[in-house]
Amino acid sequence: MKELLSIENLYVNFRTLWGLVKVLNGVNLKIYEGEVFGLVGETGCGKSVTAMSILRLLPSNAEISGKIIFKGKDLLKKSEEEMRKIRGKEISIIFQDPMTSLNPLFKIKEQMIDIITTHNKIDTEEAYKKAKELLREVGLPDVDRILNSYPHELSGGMRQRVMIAMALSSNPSLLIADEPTTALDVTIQKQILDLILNLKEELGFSVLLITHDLGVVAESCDRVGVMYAGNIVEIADTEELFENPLHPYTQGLLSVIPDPRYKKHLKPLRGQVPSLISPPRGCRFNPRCEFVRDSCKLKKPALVEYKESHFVACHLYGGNPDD
Amino acid sequence: MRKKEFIKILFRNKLSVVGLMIILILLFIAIFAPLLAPYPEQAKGEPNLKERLQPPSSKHFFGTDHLGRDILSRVIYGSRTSLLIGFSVVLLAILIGLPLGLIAGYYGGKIDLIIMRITDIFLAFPPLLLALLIATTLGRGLINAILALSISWWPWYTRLVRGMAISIKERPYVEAAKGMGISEWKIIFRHVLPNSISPLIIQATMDIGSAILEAAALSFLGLGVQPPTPDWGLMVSEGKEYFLNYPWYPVFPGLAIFITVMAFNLLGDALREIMDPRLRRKFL
Amino acid sequence: MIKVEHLKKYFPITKGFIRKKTLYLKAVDDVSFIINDGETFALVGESGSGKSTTGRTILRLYEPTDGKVFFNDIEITALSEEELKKIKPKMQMIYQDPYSSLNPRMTVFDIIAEPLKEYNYKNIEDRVLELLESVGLSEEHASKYPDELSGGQCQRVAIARALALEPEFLVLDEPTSALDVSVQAQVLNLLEKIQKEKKLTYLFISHDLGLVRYLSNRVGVMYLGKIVELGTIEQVFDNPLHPYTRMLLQSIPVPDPKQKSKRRRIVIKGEIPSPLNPPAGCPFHTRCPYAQEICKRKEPLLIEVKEGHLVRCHFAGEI
Repeated sequence: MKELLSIENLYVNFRTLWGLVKVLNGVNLKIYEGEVFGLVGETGCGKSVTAMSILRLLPSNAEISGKIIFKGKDLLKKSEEEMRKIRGKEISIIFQDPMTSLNPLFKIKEQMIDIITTHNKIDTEEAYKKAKELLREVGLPDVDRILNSYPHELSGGMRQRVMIAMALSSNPSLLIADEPTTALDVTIQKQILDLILNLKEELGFSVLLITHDLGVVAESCDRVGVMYAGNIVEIADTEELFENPLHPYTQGLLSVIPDPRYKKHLKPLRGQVPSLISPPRGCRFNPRCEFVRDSCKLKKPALVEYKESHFVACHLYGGNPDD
Repeated sequence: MRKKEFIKILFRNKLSVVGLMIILILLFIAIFAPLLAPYPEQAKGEPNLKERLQPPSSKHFFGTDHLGRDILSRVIYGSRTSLLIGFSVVLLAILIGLPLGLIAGYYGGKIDLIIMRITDIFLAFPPLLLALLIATTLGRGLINAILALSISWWPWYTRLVRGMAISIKERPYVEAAKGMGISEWKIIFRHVLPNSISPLIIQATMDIGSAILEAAALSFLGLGVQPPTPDWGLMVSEGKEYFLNYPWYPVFPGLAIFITVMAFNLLGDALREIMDPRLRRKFL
Repeated sequence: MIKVEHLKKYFPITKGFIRKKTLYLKAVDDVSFIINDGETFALVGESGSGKSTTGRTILRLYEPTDGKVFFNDIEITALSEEELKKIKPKMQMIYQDPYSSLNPRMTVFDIIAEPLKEYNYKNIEDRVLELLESVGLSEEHASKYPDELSGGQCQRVAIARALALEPEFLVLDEPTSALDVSVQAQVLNLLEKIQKEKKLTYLFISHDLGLVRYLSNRVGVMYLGKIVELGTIEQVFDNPLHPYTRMLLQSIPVPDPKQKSKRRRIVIKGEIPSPLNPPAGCPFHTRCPYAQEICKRKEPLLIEVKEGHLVRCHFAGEI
């Protein structure tokens, strides 16, 4: 498998009135060509910030350091001009609420043609044809009517399909999907996830799927990274992660999701997600961990390959070389 | 938002600090006017015909007016009139506008329709014109000027509070209170009112400045405060005839109006930024 | 404890500039069920199914358009405002968004004390502390404002407030859907614990079938304002008879990657029609893989297929 994107030691801090918020604390991950990589974690763990860092769309009060290598080049070293050519062309993104990413004042037609002509050297007429084609590809019926609609005239599922069509209009090699189905009903959620996976197989792009739902991960991802309070704590193939979770946090997460197939005993994690202004020293999970040891409170565990292609950042598994 | 954060943000914005400082100084001047004014008797109106229309000097920092009175002393005393007008106009307008807005917004239906049509009638007139009409009807004088301005002012507050009340009454905590059988007036005063009030405070702060300005306009047109009461608007009005030869006469009270109105606007702007989470980002 | 008979709630929608057309949004359309003492009855469905409106109409937060609701044999729908006030403490509600269900300008203490004061309880201070402890909070939280608490803590405060008046029946409207999974489990366990301790009866409203399976004894599946299937959890989840229930169960992601390829083959058809303009006949026929001619013309009745297992489908038991 060929490496498409590699994030190395990514640190992101936000300067705020209340102090420096240490949002990302040295994130490392790789995404290979043609795979679906799931990034899972709870609110505020930094998964969306990771996505926005890749696109360099962080707010102006952010400090960023590390490397984001995309197709062999560091995105953090690119000029704003060069980034603009990468955004939407090589890397596309879709968000949770398509209503906020579509302009309510313009018809779908106008917005799609605008995007298509920005990234391809074609005229409006051809762009309209291409828009129709794209909408058919994402499984929308009656494409002429949809092209002549305003965003609010479409259902949530249809809007998300339009967003996907727009995101794919320039054949990107990476699609970032940030909670793409969270705002949708379950039956529509399955349709959208299936659509993304089918298109991926057809067109061969990679997907970075950001979600809080381990069910969604199990359904759609090849590999998965678990994030907690700004760190990646575990990365593994999806099946391996569900069968052999190593990190106590991953184990905890798996034991709190209810299963519709049977009544499962839920064993909640204790405590709360820590404040990122003054995060716990050492391993940021240590106040909630049942296996906590002294070393956990002193040193941040590094992400190490514990088994073949199964990475974990935890002192229980020799997370620190000099342990 | 807690008090600590509020103060922290307030002091981050330098202009809001300037506004606040000016207002505090004005209040200080108004309270201690008899001690600060070099010629308190002249400020209250006693003529001093020997020293008519003197230019600014070490004896009279701002010069003297057409009756020889010390302009500095009159500007100092004028702050009392202006602040009195500013605060009482806004207060009276809130006293009328706030309960009507709460009732209209919370209950909706017919009562809302009636209250809103009444405000429409008031809002159909340009505010100063309406105040002029009312002041003409009521007759001249300080109290009538205050009444005229508040009567033309309250519909704005009714609208503002109504809009807030409509959105607040849909919040789950209001529904929860209803579900617990909490009585209606307690819901209005404990849940709806405190959560509807921030935009009103912002608006009221800025309006104190505008009320002072409009009161000055009324005085300028002869409908407001009557001589010999020290009032900035009245002083500008009286001084305008002497402007070409004795510019200090209208300029100093004019400057006082300008600075006061600006100070209240700065503070109001700052409050709006603090209370609006979208604008609050700017402080980061 | 609760008996709902032919409950209807229509919202009038006026359309057009000159206010000509009045459409009715049939949010709840002829819903009947009972909730037994001490059990958890779940209403499950997608957005626009009318599950939340049903819950609110039972508590008379909305006035029903038609139908009756009984609480311990008292017909709540026939009570006057004063009589209702005596019943209200017995029936409370927990809301979805913990932050917006608490007044941001009141401290935790005042929030919990408010209902106690309204009903002239004595020793309010002690009771508030007791309530805080019963939901896993402590005295130090009493002086805080909601925005100083986490989502999970806010939801605990909301639960304490609901428990203040010693209710017998709680409507839980998506009580954990705004919370993170690790916190969700804490709140669910708390709800289970207080149900046992205080012998409460729950109406649990949710779109999450996993949670429904976890918390409930019986369940009603709603689609466009109607109950399409009703039964015990085992009946509905293990032997779903209505095609919509099956579709729901097939749609929800299963946390088991081994099922991935098998589940990829399942295709989910169509979108939920607008509740303003529901399809004629069986409301589900536009998405139903088994739809026949009769489904487009005639609306099926809710019939009992097995004891306690009701289905609204022309072909119940045949497909």
